[in-house]
Amino acid sequence: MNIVLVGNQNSGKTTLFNRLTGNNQKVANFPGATIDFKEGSILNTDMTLVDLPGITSLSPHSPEQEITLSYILNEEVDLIVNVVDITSLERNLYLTTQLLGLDIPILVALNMSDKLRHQSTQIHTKTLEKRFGVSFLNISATKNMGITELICKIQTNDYLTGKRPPIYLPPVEQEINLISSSLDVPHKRYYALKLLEDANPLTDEIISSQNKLKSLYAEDLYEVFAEQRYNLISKLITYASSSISKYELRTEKIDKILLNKYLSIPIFLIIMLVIYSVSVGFIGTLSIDLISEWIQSFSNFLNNILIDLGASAWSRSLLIDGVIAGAGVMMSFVPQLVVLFLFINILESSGYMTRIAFLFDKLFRKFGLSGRALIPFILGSGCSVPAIYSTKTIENKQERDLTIMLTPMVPCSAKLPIITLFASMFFRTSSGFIVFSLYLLAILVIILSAVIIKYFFKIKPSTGFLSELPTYKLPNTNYLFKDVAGQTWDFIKNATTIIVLSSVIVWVLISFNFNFVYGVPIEESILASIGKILAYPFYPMLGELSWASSVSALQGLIAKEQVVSSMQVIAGVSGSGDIFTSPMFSFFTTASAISFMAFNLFSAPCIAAITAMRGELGSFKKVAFAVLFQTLFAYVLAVVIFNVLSLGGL
Amino acid sequence: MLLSDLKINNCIKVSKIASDDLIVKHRLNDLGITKGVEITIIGYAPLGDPVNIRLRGYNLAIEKKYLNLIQGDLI
Repeated sequence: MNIVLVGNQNSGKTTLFNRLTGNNQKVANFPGATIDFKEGSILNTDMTLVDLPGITSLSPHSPEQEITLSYILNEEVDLIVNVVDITSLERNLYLTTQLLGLDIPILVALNMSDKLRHQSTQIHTKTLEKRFGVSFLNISATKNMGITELICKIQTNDYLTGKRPPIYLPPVEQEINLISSSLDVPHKRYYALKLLEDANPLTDEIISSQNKLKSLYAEDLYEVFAEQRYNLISKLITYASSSISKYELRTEKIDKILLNKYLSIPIFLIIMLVIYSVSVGFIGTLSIDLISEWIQSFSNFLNNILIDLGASAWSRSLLIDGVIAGAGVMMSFVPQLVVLFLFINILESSGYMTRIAFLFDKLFRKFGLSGRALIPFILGSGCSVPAIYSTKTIENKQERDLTIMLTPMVPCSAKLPIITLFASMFFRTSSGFIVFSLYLLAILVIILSAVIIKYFFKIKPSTGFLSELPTYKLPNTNYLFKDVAGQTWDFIKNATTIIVLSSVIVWVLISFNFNFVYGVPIEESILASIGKILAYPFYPMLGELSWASSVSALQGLIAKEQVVSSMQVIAGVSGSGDIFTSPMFSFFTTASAISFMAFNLFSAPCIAAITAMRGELGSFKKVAFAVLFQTLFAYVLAVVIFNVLSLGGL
Repeated sequence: MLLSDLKINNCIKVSKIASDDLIVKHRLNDLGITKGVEITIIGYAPLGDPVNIRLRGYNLAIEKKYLNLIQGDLI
């Protein structure tokens, strides 16, 4: 049995999905589409459950919503579980009235029912069942209420499947029946409505039906149908419950402050400053020193054991300078990432993220973007890959492309090691402030790039901002920690596989010369030979021909965190545990440190992000443009920074 | 009057959505902006746009240019 979850964006669909499937889930993918969705099996059953992207109506406005519609219409679906947010019942039921036109059994789950008084919802359920001819069930996915009942109903097919009463007024119903009787497809009512709404009718039969209805109501039949759906719903709903208004009153009160004309932007900036100084500043500096120390003593411990076991010098070096040094640097960034992920998840699940888009929409519009671009940008401070995928919610294709090209320029968590390394080295006293001002620099760089790219692609003004402002919700701690753990694990998994592999490659290149002799002086290694050529283009931003720096920057293509671990490995092989006291990197001045950091922040992103861009932009030309543009821009910026700061004597 | 002329906390009953762009109009319809619906202006974003409006038991952030399309009577 194949069951799909369908509902509005903020209906709590995904929480319900997690509740129903537990850990029996995997990411599925539509053939030919890059949009993926989750698929799993309901606990203790063999029924499959699919979590489709949220939709507001059966007229999709984004590629993500098109997927949902095409899945429902074309795949084999045995049951739709329509998830409805009971605190926003009127608008959520709109989708339900449209789903009723499909030839698929429907079970409506009234989610967040814990927010309503018990009695009033009972009455609702019976009235709604009678009027719509499908089963309604009160549940709360976060409070684990009604879930067993829901599973039981699905398992025993205990839901209404009979004929559904008409939704529209008699004249409309009459034409729907007329058109659908001539159709030979499943979902006749759905397609009959589509044909009636069509501005370019196909047959004389449809034209005559349209004319009949137009003479009765209005020219635009789409609006007529929407109006009749909403009229039916609002007649059914009476807001009997006082707890709804209490709940919304709270949102109204919070919005008076958070969306206040004068306070909103300062509050946003303070929130961001707090997030970054706690995660990157406080936790970051604390954990990096501590974990580096642990790894250092672990390396020494391991080294001694290996010496006792009689291991050769090169095998010890491979393990300690290659594998452990590379992976170890990564591990020291995990604590601050956990904190960062935690904050981003709270912003998202509380409902504040949508409001950030609301606050800054007008500003973003000046650069061909919309407030929605801020969400990928904020997510991008975690990782560009999910951030690039999150642009799917942007409807306008040009606007989406622009956002995708700019997102990798946001300093992601993997670039944090680079920032923190240089910041803590040269500006030990105020590294939190340096990090914050680098984010401000990133904003300037992104704005400037947006203006340039907008000019290149002749991007026209986009569709306007239209978004629900959901009521504020306290994040569910259970799911919060589960999500953070998942994201952290993904980071560790990717980091260790890519980094250990490339660290070993770097170690080989650094420890051997072209004749494959081990233990040559570092200047004669394979890596140094490659780097010596690469060093020339880096000269204008470093003021020094440094093969070690250029080789490290190149490795940022594999993964940005690799820049730092490469420097660590090179420093280690050259005989120093500390990067900036090693002979390879002691040349860094404040000017070259900042310019090298800037280049690494804004140049081509890692391969994973480039792959994600390729998938979302859908054209190799655009990806090539974006990557070249970013690298060139970063290069010019770095050279300018170096020369200006050097002139200033830094 | 146009919805864009409405003051904060005032309410309007929609009589017409005057848009030549059917895609825009139908999106507004789907979000609950249809003839007869009552809409209240809750507030503006700090930069004056978009606008926070309330209808059908929920809050919608909507760009000002769309408010110019919505006609109705003060209630």
